[in-house]
Amino acid sequence: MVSLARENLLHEKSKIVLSVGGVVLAVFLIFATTGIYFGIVTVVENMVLKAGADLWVTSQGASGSLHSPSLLNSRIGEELKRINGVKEVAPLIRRPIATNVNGEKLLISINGFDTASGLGGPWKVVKGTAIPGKGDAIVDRVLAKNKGMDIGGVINLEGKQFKVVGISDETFTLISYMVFVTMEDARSFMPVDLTNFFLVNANSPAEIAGVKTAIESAFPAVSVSTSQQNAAEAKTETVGGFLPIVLVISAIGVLVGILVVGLLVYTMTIEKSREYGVVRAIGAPNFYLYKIVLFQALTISVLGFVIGAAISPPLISFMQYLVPEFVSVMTPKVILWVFFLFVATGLVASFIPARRLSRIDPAVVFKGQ
Amino acid sequence: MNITRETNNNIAIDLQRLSKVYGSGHVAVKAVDDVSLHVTKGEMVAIMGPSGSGKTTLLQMIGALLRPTSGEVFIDGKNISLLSENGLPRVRLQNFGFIFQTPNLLSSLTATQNVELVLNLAGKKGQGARQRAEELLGQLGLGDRLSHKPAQLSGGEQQRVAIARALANNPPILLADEPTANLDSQAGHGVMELLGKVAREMGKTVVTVSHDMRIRYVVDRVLWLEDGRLRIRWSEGVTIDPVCLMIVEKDKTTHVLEHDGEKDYFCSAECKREFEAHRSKYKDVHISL
Repeated sequence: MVSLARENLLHEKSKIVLSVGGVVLAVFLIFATTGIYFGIVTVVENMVLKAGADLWVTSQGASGSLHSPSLLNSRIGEELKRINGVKEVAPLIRRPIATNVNGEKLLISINGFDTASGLGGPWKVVKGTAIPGKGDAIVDRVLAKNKGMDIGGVINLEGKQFKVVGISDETFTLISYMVFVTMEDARSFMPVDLTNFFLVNANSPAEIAGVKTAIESAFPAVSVSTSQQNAAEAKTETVGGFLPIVLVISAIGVLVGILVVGLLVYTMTIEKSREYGVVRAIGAPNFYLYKIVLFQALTISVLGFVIGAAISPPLISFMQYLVPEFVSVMTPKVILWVFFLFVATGLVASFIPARRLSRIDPAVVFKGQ
Repeated sequence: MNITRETNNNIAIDLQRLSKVYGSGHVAVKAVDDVSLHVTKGEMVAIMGPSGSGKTTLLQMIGALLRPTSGEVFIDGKNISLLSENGLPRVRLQNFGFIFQTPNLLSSLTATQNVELVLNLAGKKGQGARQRAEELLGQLGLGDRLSHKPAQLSGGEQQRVAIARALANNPPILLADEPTANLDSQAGHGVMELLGKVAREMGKTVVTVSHDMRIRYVVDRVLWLEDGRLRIRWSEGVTIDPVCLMIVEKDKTTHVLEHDGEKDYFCSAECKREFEAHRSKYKDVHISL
C-alpha cells in the first residue's frame, strides 16, 4: 500500500532533519529539567530513607530535611533507649553553615552521625571509607571535584581542618554540599549541646507503630514519624517551590515541540495543498487526509523523542562532567511520561494542519498552475 | 427532488436544468445557466467554448466536485446532487476518472505509486494493486518509466500517467479538463489520440472540456457552451472565430477572409482585423470544416 504520508516526509528530508532536531532539543530540555527535579528529590528522599532508621524523632512539626528547624535536647537519647521495643537510638546533627572552604564561601551541611551504628551516615560512598574517625571528613563528590580534593586531602571548615577519608555521591542538593563527620566533631559546630534528630530502630517491623506511639506519649513536645512520612515531608519542604519552575520549563519544552512539529506539518500541508486537493478530487475522504497529517506529526514527535531519549543520558553525563553541580536523574517513569507527552504533542500539532486540509477545495485542481 | 430517475439504461450522465450561480445580489454571476444534457454510455463528448463560458464549472458539477445552485445531476440514474458531503468522495472514486489541465501528479510518488494510490483508496491493496498500476502504465507506453517521479517525466509522459491514474479503478466515466492545454502541439496530439483510443477500447464515457479544435476529430459530439448556456451543437454550418473562439454561423456572418484557397469566418470586423495583423499567432487554431 502506498503511504503518501511517509513518501511526503521522505521527500522533504532536510526539513525533517531540522524538525526532528528541534523536537530532540525540546525532549532534552524536558529530560534535563525534570532530571534536575528528580535528582534533587532523590537526594532529599535518600537523606531520610537511607539514614537507616525506622523512626525519626524531631522537634514538633520539623522534618529530616536540611532546612529543618529541629532542635532537641541531647539527653532525650538516653531516655528513648529505655522505651519498650526500641532496638537502637542514634543522634544526628545536620547543621548548615556558610563557610569558607579552601578560599570560597559555600553552604556546607555538617552531618554528624553515630559512627558506631552508622545510622545517618553517607549512603553512597564512591571512594574511601564510609566511617570517619575523629578529625576525618567524608565530603560530597561535587565539592571534592570543584575544590580538587581527594582522599588524604584536607578540608578547612570554620577554621577547623579535617582530613578527607571518603567521597560520597548523591549528597549535593543544589544549594549545599554535605560533609559527614563524627558526632563529636559535629558538636563543635553547635553553639550549645543540642541534637537535631534522633534516629530510632525498633526490634522488629511489627513493633514500629507501637514504639512510635510510646515515644509520642512519653515526649509530647516532639514529633515522631516513620522514614517514609519524614521523606515525604522533606521532599515537600525542599522541592515544593522548585516544582512549578520545572513544570514551566517543561511546558516551554512541550510548546517548542508542538510549534516545531506543527509548523513543519502545516508548511508541508500548505505547500502540498494542491496535491491534497487532487487526492480529495480523486475520491479520498477527509479521514484519509487527517491520517496523513497525524502520521507525519506523530512520526516527527516520536522520532524526536526516541533520538532525544537516546542522546539525553550521555549528554547529561557530559554536562555533569563539565558542571558537577548538574544533578540529574532519568527514571523509567519520567521517560514514559515524556513519551506520552510527545505523542500528545504530535496529536496537538496535527490539529491545525488537519483543519487546513479539511478546507482544501478539491476544485482547486481544475485551475492551471 | 428525485433520488433516482427512470431513464434509458444507456444514459451515463443526465443533467436536468443545471445552474450554478457564484455570489449573490448585484454581484451574482451565473456560470452555468439551465443546462440539460444526456450523455450515453460509451459516448465521447467535448464541451467547447470561449474562456469564462462555464465549461469547467459544468465539468465540476458533473464530477461531484461542486454543488449546483439548482438542477440535478444523475449518474447512471442516481441523483448525486442529493448526496451529503461525506458521500461525494465515494461517488467520485467509483464513477469518475479525472484528467486535469496539468497532470497534477503527486510529486513524492513514482509513476506506479501515483496510479496505485487510487487503487488503494478504492480498497485494492498489495501486489494486485501494484500489478494493475504497472499494467496500465505499460499499456500507455510508460513501461520503462514506472519508478520515475513526476519531475523526471516529460509533460506528455506525466499526462499519460494521469490518464492511467484516471483509468485505474476502471470508472465508467472519464472527465477531462483541457488535457492538452499545457502540452506542445505534438505531445498534445499524442495524448488526445491516446485518450480517445483507450476510452473506446475500454468503453468509457468521456466528457472533455477543451479549447483545442483538434479534439473534434476524436470525440463523437461537440457541445458549445457560451455564457453558461449550451448554444448549438456542432454542425457543418458553424465554425469558430479563431481569434475570440466565439461560435460563428457561416451563412450569417459577413466577416470572411479568403486566403490560400481556405476561408476563415469571424464574429466581427475587429476579430478579422486582429487575425490579419497577427496571422501567425492564430495559425494553430485555424479551422477548416
